[in-house]
Amino acid sequence: MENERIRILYIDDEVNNLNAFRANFRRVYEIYTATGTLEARKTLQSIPLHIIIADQRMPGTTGVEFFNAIKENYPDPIRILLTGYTDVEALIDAINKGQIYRFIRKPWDDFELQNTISNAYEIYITKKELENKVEELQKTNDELSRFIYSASHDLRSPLMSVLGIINLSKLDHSVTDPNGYMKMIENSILRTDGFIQKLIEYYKNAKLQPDYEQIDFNALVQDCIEECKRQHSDMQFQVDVDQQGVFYGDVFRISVILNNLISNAIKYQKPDIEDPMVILQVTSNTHSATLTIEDNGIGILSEHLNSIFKMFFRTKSNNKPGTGIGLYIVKEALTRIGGTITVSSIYGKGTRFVITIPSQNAKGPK
Amino acid sequence: MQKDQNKPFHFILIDDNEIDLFFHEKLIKIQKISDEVTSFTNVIQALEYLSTFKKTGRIYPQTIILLDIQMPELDGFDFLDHFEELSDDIQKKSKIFIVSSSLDHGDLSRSHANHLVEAILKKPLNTGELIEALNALVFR
Repeated sequence: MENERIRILYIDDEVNNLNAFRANFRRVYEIYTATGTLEARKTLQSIPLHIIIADQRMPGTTGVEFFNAIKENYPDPIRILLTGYTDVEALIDAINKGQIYRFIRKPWDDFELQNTISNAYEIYITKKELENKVEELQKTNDELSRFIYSASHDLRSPLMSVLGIINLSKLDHSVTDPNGYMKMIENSILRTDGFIQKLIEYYKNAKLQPDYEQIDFNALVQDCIEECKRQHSDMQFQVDVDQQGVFYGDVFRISVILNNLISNAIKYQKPDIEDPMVILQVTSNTHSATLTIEDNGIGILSEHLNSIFKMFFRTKSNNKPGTGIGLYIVKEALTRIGGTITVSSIYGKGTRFVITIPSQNAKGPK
Repeated sequence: MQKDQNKPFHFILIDDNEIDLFFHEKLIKIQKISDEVTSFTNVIQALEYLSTFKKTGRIYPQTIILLDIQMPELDGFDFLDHFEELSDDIQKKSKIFIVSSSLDHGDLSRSHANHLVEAILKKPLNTGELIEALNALVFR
């Protein structure tokens, strides 16, 4: 585009003006002229123009009318209106329809016109670049979707095969494994798979539009607890749900948030504790819901509290098999549905997360 | 439930992953769910096998097809499309379970929406879930 000459179409019924324009600017620009709109359209069809200049007063039509007629099929060229009159009606009309970049008063000043053309060309280039960027972004997004899709399948599929074979070895007792190596392999695989699932969760959160539906917090909380209990049966849950009225929310994201917080509570329980406990409280009305998740785990050092929602943040002091993505996903998911989260923690005592989520009653699903 | 306890299930496994095929076959046999297992690594062979029943008319009355979703060339959804072209008899006597490691929302919802799919089982295949799905079946 650097060395490209600016292609301009100038439409005017007065041939003198066309000739004057051509004489003044032909060394700077690639100039096409037309004495009427029919001729102008022919040029439009064959030449990719950057700028169109039209006289306002022409026999049978006006510059504004012409611009209006072509903007559907040729939206890219920047439009400049030339007018010999202070034709207020025309100006207002054009401004309101938003199709004209500048007005130039006739007779034009060469310097002013050249400046206007340079600026218009800048706008044209910027618009084009933006379009290219958008296209590029869409392509990258599509590629990312495909990548996530194949990652979710191609990475998980062999892991699931390994788990299957480990299960098989348990069923037919064909492997003697006095040192528990198979269990270690299994745990490693489960951890890897957990991370893959978190990545997919993160990606889904970023990509999917929120989908609002009626929420039964009792059922939702029970589902999440069941899911977590399947992995750690010794955790005690104390649940208190007080739902007043209908609440509309995004089930996927609220589940993701609860699952991550509950599994954190399980992961960061004290190693030797006899009564590991998670207290879950939900109070909701038709406007908002407040969810509290409290545990009696190891707690979080106060200097770390500000960092826990950052991506891949992990404290050095613990040797837990975390991935540092769980709370980041929680935060991102809340952002998508307009919720907030606060955390308080006493190191060695436990941690308490409080979440508020607005109900989508008023806005409603689209 | 109208299953005939005397007649065993005949399993047809379709999966491009040979380790999974091996594992599924072993699991079905070790858990004494059935001894009749026929495995295919691609959709076309499985369809050819099924269509020979059209000629001989000898399909097992209780055939269970364990179908993977993502496979090269023809995938699980292609199989489902072609399955509908098979004879009514074959369609009546066989039931399809999806067995997949996919977490993709599109894959799962498409499987769920397909009227031929009786159950969606996750990999690694779990004996309990398989038996549960078998118990839920009703053969006409």
